[in-house]
Amino acid sequence: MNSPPRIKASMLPYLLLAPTILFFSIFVVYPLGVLIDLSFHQKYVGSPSIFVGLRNFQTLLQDTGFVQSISNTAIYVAGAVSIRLLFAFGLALILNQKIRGRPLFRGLMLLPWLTPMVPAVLTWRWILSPDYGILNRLLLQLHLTTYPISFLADPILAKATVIAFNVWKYFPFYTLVFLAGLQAIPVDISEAAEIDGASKWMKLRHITIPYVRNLFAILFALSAVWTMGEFVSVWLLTRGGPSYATHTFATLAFEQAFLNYNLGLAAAMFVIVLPITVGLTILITQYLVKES
Amino acid sequence: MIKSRHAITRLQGTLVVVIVIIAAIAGGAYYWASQPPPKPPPSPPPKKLTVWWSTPVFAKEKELIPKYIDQFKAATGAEVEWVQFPHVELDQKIMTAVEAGTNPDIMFQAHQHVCTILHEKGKLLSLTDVIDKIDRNDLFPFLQQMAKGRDGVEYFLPYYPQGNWFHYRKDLLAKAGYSKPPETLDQLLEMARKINNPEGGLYALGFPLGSTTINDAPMTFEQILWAYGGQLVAADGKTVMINSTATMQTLEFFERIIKIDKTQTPAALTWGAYDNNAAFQQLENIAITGNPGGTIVSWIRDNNPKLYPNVGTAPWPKGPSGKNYLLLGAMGFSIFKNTKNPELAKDFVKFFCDKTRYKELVMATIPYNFPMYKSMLTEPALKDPPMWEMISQLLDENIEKRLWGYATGPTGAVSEIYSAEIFARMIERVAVWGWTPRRALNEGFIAIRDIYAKWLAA
Repeated sequence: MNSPPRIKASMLPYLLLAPTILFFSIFVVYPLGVLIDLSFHQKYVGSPSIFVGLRNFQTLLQDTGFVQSISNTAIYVAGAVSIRLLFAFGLALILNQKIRGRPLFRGLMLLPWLTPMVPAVLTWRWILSPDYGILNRLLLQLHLTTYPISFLADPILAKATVIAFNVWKYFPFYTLVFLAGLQAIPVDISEAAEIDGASKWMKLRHITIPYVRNLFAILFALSAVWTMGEFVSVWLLTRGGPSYATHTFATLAFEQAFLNYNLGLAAAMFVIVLPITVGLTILITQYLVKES
Repeated sequence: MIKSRHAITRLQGTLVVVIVIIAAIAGGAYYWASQPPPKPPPSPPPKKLTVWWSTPVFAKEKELIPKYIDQFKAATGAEVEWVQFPHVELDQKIMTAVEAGTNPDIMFQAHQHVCTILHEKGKLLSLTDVIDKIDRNDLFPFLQQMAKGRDGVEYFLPYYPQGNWFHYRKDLLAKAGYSKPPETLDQLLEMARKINNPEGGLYALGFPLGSTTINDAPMTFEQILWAYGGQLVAADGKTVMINSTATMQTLEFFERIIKIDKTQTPAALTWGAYDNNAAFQQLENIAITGNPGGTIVSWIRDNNPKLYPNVGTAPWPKGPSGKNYLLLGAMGFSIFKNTKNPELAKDFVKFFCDKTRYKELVMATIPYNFPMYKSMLTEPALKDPPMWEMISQLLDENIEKRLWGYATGPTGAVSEIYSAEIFARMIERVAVWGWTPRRALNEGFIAIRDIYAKWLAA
């Protein structure tokens, strides 16, 4: 008598999961399978695909441009993530204080995040141009330099500029999250510490930082994954130049696929980077499960 | 009684049957008569063309193209879907669509190399009958060569021909004491040293040289390479000739202007497709530049009338080869083989090549493009001095006209070399990473040799 309802009850989770599994299969698993399959083929746009085994991976590992893009990606992620998190946290601490004009500053702080990407990049390119850029004009007029600085044509400065742009564009989101975290700290703990004579530094070290530690961990991991896949800002700012100095995985793979029309090699690049992004995603998930 | 009753009943029955039959016949006749006449078979839906077009630049052009499309639709009864893409995006859209099998019927491409690659992969229709129908004898000979693939098939109609022009600012040269542009590369180097004043915000040279320029850098590279007497490949299309003294001298020329004399703006290594125009047009930042297409002159004509008389165009300076060269390219039409309406697609291209329409359209884009018909170069509108300095080079027999990818012109291999920016990569190796020209050339040569090997094997 009770068996039909039992079957229904046991099926319910699967039924509820079915749409997600279907969506995930169509939009994640299948394309991923195609990508992995493509990475073992020589495939140019408009030409038939030829199975070449591991040759694409071998080509990539011997390619100085690809090796450089690995190191560029590491520098880009490390630089952008660490500077952005520290800057965002520092700003959140300031904006959490009772300062005059706080709502205005909080609003202004969001501007870089709200500015559409293309105008933002073009404005940066215009500001930094050694030919007609306002920054070089200013530096020359203030006699801080005797020669216009080529921010995007020098390999080190170009890397720094790409990192600076990424930090500038996305810090508001992180500041907002940190602000929310800071506002969740019970006021009475802070007040009790003050009564006990705790300095600002001690409050930061022993109350604030432990409270937002989890936020730091989650934002760090998310930020690393997002920055690793960042394409638009790097492409629009430098297109990976000068001479591969700012090429990341994403821009180099795009170049291979859409400028050199070599889909097999581009797929192999993504397959190489896949374990890193999957690893980071697993770490985030495990951390969140553990915390919950 | 029973019998008689039975007889009446039979009579009645017969009557009923007759009445029923008559009623059925009458009803059937009425039904048949009341039916509407049979419908003629449905007419086939109008034929449809999809045309992808590199976004027009000029207002008049934007007005004329839809007008002509409407006229074509009215004349043929066909439907035409006209889709515009910025030219830097169209290449990627086309390639992606080809891979997905969703390509348009016709493309109007700013970059011929995409058409060349697709032709060598067997994706494009022969346009020989289209070119035969328009006035073939009035087409410049170099355009007829440009239309052909290495198999001799005409797959591309070079509708908007363009030169790779050498521009200079007359006022800035005059300030430095020069009344005319440099005639040789040595004069160019000397003049550049004298004009250069980066502390004052002026670089003498602004050639697009980085791998980010989308075709501008390889064209500049070839111009200088030819001046030194070099070339990419022999006329047989098989013998790679880039590993030469002339290429070494070309790389040393770029090394000199970027690293030794510092007369070339370093920003040019990361310029996009439009930045050299911006640098030359906006302020007094660049005295000399090179640019495929006459965008600089046309923009200044339309937006900065004061500057317009100060913009000069001269032949590219001679090198040790002792000759002037002008590199030519074109924007144009190709038709995909998998179109469902090949004849209609050809009619569309022919419709746009009609001389009356063509003249109106191409004159709206002068001097960005020049006419494909020789007879139109005599138009009075072209005699405006800044424009005529460009156009007259086409008629000057002392200037040798060459197609990009000399000595074969566009082929699949040349297109990939342009697309992969091999020439610009060599310059960047020298300018950014401090490689010697020899080392940069070795790397570039291997890449070019491999590309040729791949295409020749295909």
